[in-house]
Amino acid sequence: MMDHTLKKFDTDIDALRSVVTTMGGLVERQVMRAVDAVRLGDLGIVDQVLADEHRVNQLHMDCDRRCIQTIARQQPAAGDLREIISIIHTNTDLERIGDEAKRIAKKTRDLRGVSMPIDFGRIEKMAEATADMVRIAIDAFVRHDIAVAALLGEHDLAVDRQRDVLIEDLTQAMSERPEVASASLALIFIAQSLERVGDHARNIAEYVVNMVEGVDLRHASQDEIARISVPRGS
Amino acid sequence: MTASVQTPSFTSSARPVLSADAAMPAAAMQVRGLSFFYGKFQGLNDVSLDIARNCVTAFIGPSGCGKSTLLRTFNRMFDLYPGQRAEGEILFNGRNILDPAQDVNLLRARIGMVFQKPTPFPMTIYENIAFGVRLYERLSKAEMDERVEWSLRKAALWEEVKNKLDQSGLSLSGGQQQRLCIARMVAVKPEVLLLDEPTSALDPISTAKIEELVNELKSDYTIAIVTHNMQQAARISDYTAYMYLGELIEFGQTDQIFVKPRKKATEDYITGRFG
Repeated sequence: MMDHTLKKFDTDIDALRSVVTTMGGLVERQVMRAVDAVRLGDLGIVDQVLADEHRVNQLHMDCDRRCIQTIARQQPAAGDLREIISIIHTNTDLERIGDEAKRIAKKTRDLRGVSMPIDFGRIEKMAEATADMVRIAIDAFVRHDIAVAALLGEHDLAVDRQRDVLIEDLTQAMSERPEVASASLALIFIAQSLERVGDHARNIAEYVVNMVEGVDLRHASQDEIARISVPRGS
Repeated sequence: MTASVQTPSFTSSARPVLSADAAMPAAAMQVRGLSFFYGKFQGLNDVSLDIARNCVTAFIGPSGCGKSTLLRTFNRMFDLYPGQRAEGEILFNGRNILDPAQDVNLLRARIGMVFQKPTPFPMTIYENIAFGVRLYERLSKAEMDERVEWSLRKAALWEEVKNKLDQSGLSLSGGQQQRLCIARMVAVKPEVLLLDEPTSALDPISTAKIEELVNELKSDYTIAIVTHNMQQAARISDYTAYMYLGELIEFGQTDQIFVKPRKKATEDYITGRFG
């Protein structure tokens, strides 16, 4: 799109986009680190996740402040307005991904030295899938790619199924082996957190559609999302 | 040389009417295939749109786009200038106001206009209102007093001037003068109010008062406003028309135009990517 006549407007919006990509990178790293911390029982990694979470919180507030200033000073309209509103929504979801990573990392203490009731690789696989969703959502935001909403809707359903199967297996493990009840419960919380990370990534991809097309896909069915998030000309 | 009006038979082969949406209220005015010429220069090219009754329609666009020209065709203001002519149709109460047989004075009573700079007459506040009314009606003193108060109240000016009606209209502040002009326009009981950049010479507080007034007046009148201030169009209008180089580029509900315009040219203009 053509630059604004007022170059400062472009500078302001570029700075906001930059915060989104920085936060996206940070929370993606947080999720993977949080799961690593649990797998390795490494409290040092937990500290790193918490440090990143603090940084994400600061960026979230900084971004909101800049969005408010940009709205007040530039009075954006149309695509500019939708982009700034999408940035506000996106950063809220990114901050919540950071919160979920923190919750996962905090389970490290509960699971240190405890025998795992299931293959932990299944949790790692789910973490990789959701961190991937975050990366794809941020890429979609940068490239204004509306097709990703449908794709991440499908990924999210797959992650939901992973979570459901994990909970089923962990519940069964708890009933069969009471000694793993505490660890199973911790892993259920982790699976729930990872599933929410997937939800947030999907939300971000939906904001991209609103930003580009002016269509609000929140609460839309997967069929509606698939119908609308098709790039023009395809 | 005198201003002339040409009304060729309008054919359906012209551009389609840009309709804001199917649920648009009944039209107070219907513009069909309107072109306008300043001598050899064409200022409007085949413009068609409806002005919704009891709504505010804003015209935006860069200088020279034809928005004021369009507004000035709505009450044949261009007749005052030699060499200017309009082609096409502007239907108002079922009649084409571009018809040479149209009584222009009567038309301007039905379709009033306020300009960029306040233009009170060099006479008292009372006479500023009464002068125009006398051209069309014979009222008793009591009736005229009532009409003056009614129109000043309509223009949200009564409380500020009720104790100085015998003072010159020129003694008022710029914002008050503009509201006096609106009162003067309203006093002859028009149906349509045309506002040509009515706040561009006013401070923000006076501007807010005029905007609030527009919002109140639309329940009784149909209002068309030309403004360079896009935020003003966004704040007070129900429908917005974006014009460029004499063409109507996009016309729609203001919510739609300022959130998701259909045309890239509109988006570029309202987001400051123009020129």
